[in-house]
Amino acid sequence: MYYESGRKKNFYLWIILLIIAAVILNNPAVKKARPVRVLKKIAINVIYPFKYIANGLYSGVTGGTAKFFMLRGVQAENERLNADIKSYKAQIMLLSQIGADNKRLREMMGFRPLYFASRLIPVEIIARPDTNWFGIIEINKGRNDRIVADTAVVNDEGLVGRVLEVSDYSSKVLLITDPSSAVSVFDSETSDMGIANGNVMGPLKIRYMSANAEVKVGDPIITSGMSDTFPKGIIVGRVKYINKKDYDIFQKVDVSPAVNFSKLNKLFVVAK
Amino acid sequence: MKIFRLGVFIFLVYLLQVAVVSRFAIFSVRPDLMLVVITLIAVTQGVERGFASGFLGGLMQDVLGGMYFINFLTKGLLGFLVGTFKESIFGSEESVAVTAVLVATVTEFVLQVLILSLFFDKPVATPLSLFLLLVISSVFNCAIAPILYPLIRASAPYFAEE
Repeated sequence: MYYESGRKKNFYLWIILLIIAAVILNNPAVKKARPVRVLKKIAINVIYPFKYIANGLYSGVTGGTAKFFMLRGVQAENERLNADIKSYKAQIMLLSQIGADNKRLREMMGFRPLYFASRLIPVEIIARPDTNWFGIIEINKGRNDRIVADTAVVNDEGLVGRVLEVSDYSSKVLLITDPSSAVSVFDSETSDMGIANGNVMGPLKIRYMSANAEVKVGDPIITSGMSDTFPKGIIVGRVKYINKKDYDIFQKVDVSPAVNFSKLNKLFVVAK
Repeated sequence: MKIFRLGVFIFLVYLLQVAVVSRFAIFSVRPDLMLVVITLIAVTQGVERGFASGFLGGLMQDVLGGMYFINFLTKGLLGFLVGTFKESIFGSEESVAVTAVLVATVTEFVLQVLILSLFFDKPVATPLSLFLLLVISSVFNCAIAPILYPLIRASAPYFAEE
């Protein structure tokens, strides 16, 4: 009995220590302290190969099985894709010409270059969010591949997030669906601006959109280029719901993300 | 030595969570494999192993993937609470394991909402979203529990206190 109560007391002591440790470790000054950053960096670098292998094993197994079942349609798909490539090559040629003109004119006017003029670094996801509260993923490239913090991450559907932390071999990406994420955006139909915030579950929420803005359901929402992180013109999503009240100075706008976050795979970091 | 084995096991669970389990989301809600495993360890092996696995698993999540240091606190606390309740109230049947996972999911949800909203100005979510998140994650976690329970029970001799 005495032994049991001694053990319980020990556990209560441990829990008090945990609470104290949590308070200390979450202090911004402690988080930024060099020893904490170095220890975290070492842990991330040591664990990186395990994550890479685990992700590769799963992708290999599921990818291999999928390929086996999809072999039947490969010939027809190959022909269709070849035709698509020829068409896209022609379009790229045309767009490159327009892009070059645009770049030259922007330089003449003293404007910043658009993001499609930037270099895209292809990356793969090696770790997905492990809790439902944070939208943080890990990608397989880091400082050694010239990835830097606060750069945009996109895929073929639109804006995915921004690089949050960079280690030697990997980087953490904050998804635009995370509640800490804030992206300066505008309605490409009306040019009305706002800040798109993430949400734990559900659509993005646009704050500070003027009540006078004539936003409509279905309007494309794109990055405004007001920050150095997100270049102008990347599609964020489409307006899903509007709540406008006469007495409010801002209206509430919900946006469905353009990107399907449950099927993220190949991504691109927009190099600065 | 056995605590080292427990650490390796929790690390494998972490890898499984971030590389495989997190891909399976319904309405952006993912099952919390780490929470389920910690709860089942606490149910089958008692308060010390529950607390140790919760602390280790939470710390891995915080250091390797998180934004704040909160999982080591909430998961360590859960391992302790479930282990304590198990010793005084719970039996050891599978239904008890599912109930423990449900209680642990709800408790961790409440703890995390409180900590995130009081100290970090998070989460930004409507009450309906939070309710749906709780319901879906509870269903997810409780569905995994009976599958993992025999495995965790069978592995008890490898991690049990010496």
